[in-house]
Amino acid sequence: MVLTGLYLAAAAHVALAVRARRRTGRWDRAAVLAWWSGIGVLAVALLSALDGAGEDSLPAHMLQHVLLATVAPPLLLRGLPRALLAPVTARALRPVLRRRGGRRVLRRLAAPVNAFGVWAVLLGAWHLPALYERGLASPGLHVAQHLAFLTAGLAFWLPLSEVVPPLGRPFRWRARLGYLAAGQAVAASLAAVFLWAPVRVYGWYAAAGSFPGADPLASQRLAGVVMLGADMVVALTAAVWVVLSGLTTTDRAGRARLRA
Amino acid sequence: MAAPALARSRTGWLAAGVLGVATVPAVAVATQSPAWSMLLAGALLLAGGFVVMAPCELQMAATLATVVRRRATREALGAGAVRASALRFAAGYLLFYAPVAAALGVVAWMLAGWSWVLALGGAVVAGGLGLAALGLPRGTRLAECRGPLYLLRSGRASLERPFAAGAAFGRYCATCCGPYVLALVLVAGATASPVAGSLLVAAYAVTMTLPFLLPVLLAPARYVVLADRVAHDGPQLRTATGVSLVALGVLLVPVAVLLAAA
Repeated sequence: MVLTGLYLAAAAHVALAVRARRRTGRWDRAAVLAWWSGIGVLAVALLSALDGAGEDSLPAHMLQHVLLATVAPPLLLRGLPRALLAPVTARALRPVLRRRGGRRVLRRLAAPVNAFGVWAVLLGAWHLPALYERGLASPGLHVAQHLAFLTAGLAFWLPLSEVVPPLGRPFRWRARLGYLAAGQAVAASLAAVFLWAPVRVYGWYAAAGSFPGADPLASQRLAGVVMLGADMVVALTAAVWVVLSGLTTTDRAGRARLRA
Repeated sequence: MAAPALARSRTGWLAAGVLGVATVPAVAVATQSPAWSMLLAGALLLAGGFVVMAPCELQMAATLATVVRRRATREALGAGAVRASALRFAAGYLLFYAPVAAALGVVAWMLAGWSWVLALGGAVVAGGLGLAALGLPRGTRLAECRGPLYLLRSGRASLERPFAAGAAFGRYCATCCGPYVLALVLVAGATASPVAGSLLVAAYAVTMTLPFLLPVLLAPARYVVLADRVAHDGPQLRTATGVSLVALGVLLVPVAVLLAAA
């Protein structure tokens, strides 16, 4: 099922990229590279040995979740620039945007504060011991957990991406930096729980034998380091990109004003 | 001189607010359940990590962009040479910074139960440097240490030698983020987990290097745009750094309380 989904996603992107190439006369290489990297990250998370190891090892499971929620979503969204997606979004959104109520609903859905809320709730809820361990015990819930992490990641990065045209107030680069800082505060607090909790957060791994040769608390700390390291690298890289893009846009606007 | 100016500024009120909000739960946890004090100390440090690191990261990106831009202009370099310059800058930074972090770890390990004193010292250093970056104690020598433009103008970040420029930025950064790394090492050390401590420091060093290196490796032409804006937006970056350092100084006070309780 995972393999079919990844094939379909890859095929759909090829179709969009070819269509955009016919329209514009050039390949958007960065978008293609980002999309395929995102698909590759998903494949590593869901089809490699990491998937099996996650049932016995908390650090391995954390790495899998970080790939799904933190690394893959920004790559996938970078792979869908507005120009590439325009034929699809125009056809799907135009009827909704024509209606006043529809436009308002879409604006609310796309608001950064709502995206942030979806991300924080999904991330927090699925790390609660009761839900997390139930997910490990039930294959169906485990799939739902992985889908929830991917959805959470996509929701968080959506306001920072260029997939959807801005429907409300523009999300300026300084506000974007604040958004990233708030996200990091939530993610890093969660990582701190794994790093410094004096007790085991999840009893499952003691029963499953935990990380080979490591005591459960050391495994838990390693899981915290994995979560923190990946989150911080991705967030700071995004911060540099946000500032670069913001300054480039300001430069273009300034030059346009000078010409006028 | 600095105190009245600080009291008038928004930074002063913000710092007092953060200090109040963070210290009350810290004292409560430290007295009622010391076993959980490290978790709260770590959560406080990590939650503020992005705010501390982002301005430093952006300053590093600005310095690197200027180094790369001037080299590219003078020597008509291609994208490959721009990337090589960036890698040498990062190598200089890492090679300078790694022993600093290790030395902090050794000092923390030697002080053991008195490590909270180090955290308080870090709070004073971070707060003092933050105020200097904001220009509040006017006329002091600290006011010179205000970031990448100072490094570039004084010739410490030589444009001819990106490796030396990276090391010079490491010297600047060690005073800026040093207290933060110190506190991380202290908190990790207090959990009696040297592995977690060393992994955290390693993660910190890589975390600081990768974000400014990736954009220049992936999109060198776009990155150079940043150099054009360094002079224009430099003061804003400096102010952001100052505010974040004052916030770090304030944040380290409850961390010291929690360390004393652990």
